[in-house]
Amino acid sequence: MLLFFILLATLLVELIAVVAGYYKLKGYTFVYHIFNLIEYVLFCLYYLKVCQTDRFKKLVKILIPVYIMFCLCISVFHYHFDGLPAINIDAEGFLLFIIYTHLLFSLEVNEHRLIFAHPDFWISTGILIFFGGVFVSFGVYPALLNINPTKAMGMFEKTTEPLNLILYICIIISFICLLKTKRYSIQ
Amino acid sequence: MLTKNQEIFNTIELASIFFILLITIIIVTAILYYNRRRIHKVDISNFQSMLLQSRLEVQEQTLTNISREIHDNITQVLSFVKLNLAMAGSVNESEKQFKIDESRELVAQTINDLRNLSKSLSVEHIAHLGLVKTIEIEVDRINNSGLLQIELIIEGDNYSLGEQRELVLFRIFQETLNNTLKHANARHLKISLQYSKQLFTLSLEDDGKGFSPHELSNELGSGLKNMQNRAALIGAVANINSSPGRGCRIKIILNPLEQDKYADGNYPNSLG
Repeated sequence: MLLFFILLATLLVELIAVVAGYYKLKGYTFVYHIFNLIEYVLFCLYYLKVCQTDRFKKLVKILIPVYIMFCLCISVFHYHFDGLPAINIDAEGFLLFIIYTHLLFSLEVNEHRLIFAHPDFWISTGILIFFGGVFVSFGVYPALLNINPTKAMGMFEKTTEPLNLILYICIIISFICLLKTKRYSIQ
Repeated sequence: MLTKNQEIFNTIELASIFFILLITIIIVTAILYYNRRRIHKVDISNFQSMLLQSRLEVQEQTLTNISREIHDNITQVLSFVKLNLAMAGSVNESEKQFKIDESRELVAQTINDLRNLSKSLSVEHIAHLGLVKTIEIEVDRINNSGLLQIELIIEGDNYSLGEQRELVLFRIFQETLNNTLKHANARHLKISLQYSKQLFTLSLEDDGKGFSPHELSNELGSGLKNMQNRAALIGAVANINSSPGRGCRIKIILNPLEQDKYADGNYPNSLG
């Protein structure tokens, strides 16, 4: 269910971005400020649901409100809900990178199932590739925009488009694996 | 200025590539780690199913032995006692007393046999008595039956190898004994248990007709293969040597110092 919500939220945001880009609308970037929070919370809830080890869970639970407060402060006082929230996305990426690396190394082992049939493997892989890949470019994006906006935009698109695609493919594979697992497991 | 800007962009691209490489390493490591844990889990699962199978086979063999013992020994003795007592009514006083005394002795012997038999009713006695004592009981039973003459030699101070490993070793012993009785046409069986700090050895040597390892029937061949697999799962090595007319020698070698990996939490000492 959580995966479905993640996919739905992502689809909605991408749709807004496409429509806004097509009609050359401005000011739609505030959506990213909201989506960023929703995405982080949903990924954390997914982690809390599937992770078998309790050691890390408490920290993740504490980090949810801390991250929300941090992002709201940055969005209100630094970005004024305008422009791409690069700091928020980098902070999200940094936290999710650590959380999902932990999940990747603590996957529940099933002797009859290869790692590639594990939904959590795909979701972790997608998150690691996406947030690890955009970490550098998002971090320096505002500075690059001041140096060379055309080149900055070009590089940004060159990086984010394939990484976005990988993330969504991984989420979809994970979704399929989850459905298959549910079908063949004893309810 | 343009070159400097280009350098900044190039550095960022390089940094991104470095991050992607790092992620690839993390993912590959995670895959290898998962596979290692999965193989380990499969090993544990195999070990436990083999253990359960051994337990069931020991139980089955024990019940077969008990059934044979009741049929061949106890029923015969009690029939003789019944006949003795029936005849006692029609004989003179001194003969009557003799038959009653004889019957009393036979009943006492039967009670003793039943007591010994009850000791082998449960697989749990391996855990309570240990491998040596359990083998001794089995040897006594066979020696008393006269089916085979078994010589048991125990060298060194015996120590526990753990309930699960002793169960598997006992099952190997039981299987060998069964094969000797069924197929070998042997008169003597020499069983030797050697306990030293570095090595535990269980060897079983019969003077039967022997066999050529290449000409084994499927049943016996898979039985011996199974024996070797069982030994491997407890970290032991099973050597089987035989040739036609020269008997058979089975040697199970176990290094107690290498038992740590089998004795830790991965190979627990109880099934529960």
